[in-house]
Amino acid sequence: MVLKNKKGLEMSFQWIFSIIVGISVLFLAIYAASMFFDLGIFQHSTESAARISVLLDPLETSYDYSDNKLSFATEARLYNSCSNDGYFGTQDFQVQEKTFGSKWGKMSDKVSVRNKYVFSNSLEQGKIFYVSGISFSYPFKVTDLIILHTRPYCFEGTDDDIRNSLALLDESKFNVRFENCSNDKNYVQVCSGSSGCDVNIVGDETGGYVEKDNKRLYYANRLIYAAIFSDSDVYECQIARIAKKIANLCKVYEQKTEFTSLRVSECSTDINIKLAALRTTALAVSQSSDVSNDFITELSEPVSEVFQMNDEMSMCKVWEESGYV
Amino acid sequence: MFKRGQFKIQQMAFVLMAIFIFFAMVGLFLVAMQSRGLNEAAKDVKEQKALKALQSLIDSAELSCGVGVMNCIDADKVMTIKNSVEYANYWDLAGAYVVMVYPKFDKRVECSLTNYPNCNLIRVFGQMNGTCPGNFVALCRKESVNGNVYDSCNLAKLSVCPKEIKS
Repeated sequence: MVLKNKKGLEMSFQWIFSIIVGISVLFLAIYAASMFFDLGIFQHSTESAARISVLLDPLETSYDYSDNKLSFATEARLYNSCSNDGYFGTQDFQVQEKTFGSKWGKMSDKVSVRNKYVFSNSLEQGKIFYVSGISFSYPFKVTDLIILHTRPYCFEGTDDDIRNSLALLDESKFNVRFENCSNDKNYVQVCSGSSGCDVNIVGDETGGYVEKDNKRLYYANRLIYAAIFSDSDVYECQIARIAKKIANLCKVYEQKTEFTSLRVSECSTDINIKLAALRTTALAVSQSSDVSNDFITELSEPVSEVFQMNDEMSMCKVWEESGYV
Repeated sequence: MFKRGQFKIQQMAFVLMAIFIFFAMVGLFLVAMQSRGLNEAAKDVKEQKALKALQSLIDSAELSCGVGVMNCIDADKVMTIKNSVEYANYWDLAGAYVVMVYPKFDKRVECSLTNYPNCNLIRVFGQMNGTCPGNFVALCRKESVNGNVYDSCNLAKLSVCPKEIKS
């Protein structure tokens, strides 16, 4: 068979030109639209991270409470990280939310704050985030420990002393249970004095350590809450920041004492020597490699000395407090 | 024939330019809408932050009179924070100040290390610019009369100034 028409497909320059330019225009339009969509998701996530930081402000009070929930319209991931640099270190948040087709959207920009101490796992995922603010004093009021979690926790295997010390956790509001949950695999099992649970508490309400993921997180008093609900990276970093804050507060109280005694000679005291010693130890602990262990072992003595001295000062107390918890 | 071809290319170039301009205008419109939404969201977050930070500041370990003492700030602590380098950027706010409301002064006298406590305005940190929401508090310090130490409290207003949004 012989091909008679040898011209083939004839295309004018106009057609070729318009096809190339048309494809380019369409490609640019699609690219711009997808960029714009990504930008929208990024903006929304960053806004969420900023709002979380604002919503946690009311937890920075003198009172304990556990009826706060942060709810997202879609499933979200909250990345909690912290840095120990500078005078106080920083608390950093990043948020990622699910978009169409159950895909994870672009990660938000990092929102950093200096005056918050949030204890959670490095990554918390869910639609509802349970938040609790617990006041922490050591020996004076230091800060509020903000405990955040999404997964339900079960304390069925814990002994009575530990349960009493966890009394601030409201079962109905904080997504925790103290009984009838041993068969539910969704719960994070918390036990005391035995192995085989996700979280194991060794110690009592005054101090000890929490064992999880083959790591020990040492606690004193109310830090038990923080140790149970956070992973080791977050916990150790936040404890280092708290040690720094104790050092800074010691300085505030030292200067306050000087101010007061200049005006009120009856309030002259030697507590500044003890406060200075506590400040130096706290700063050293904040830089140590085994922060939570050193926090408990190194600080307990200067803390109790400062507490006792303040307690004996009747009308000239440097800080007003019933006890350190 | 040659002129007709040139005319057609010219015509197409104009159409392409029109398409480009159309897409650019749509893009600009969307960017403008989004940046407007972003500014409103940032302003909203800023206002919420200032209000919530106010109560948090009153109850903070750095300023409060003590655990369980409501709406009371310690004047000696405030003076300490005022002179502290460490606390200059601790709170995510542009500034905070305390003005004594009662007893009333004839004029505002800013507190310094030399005139404290005979003054009525303490600049805690930062600037006092813009709209700064405030809350009434008891401003207390220790005083003594004939060897008897007591808490001397005045009515004051603590105000916080949110950070300006960079656009």
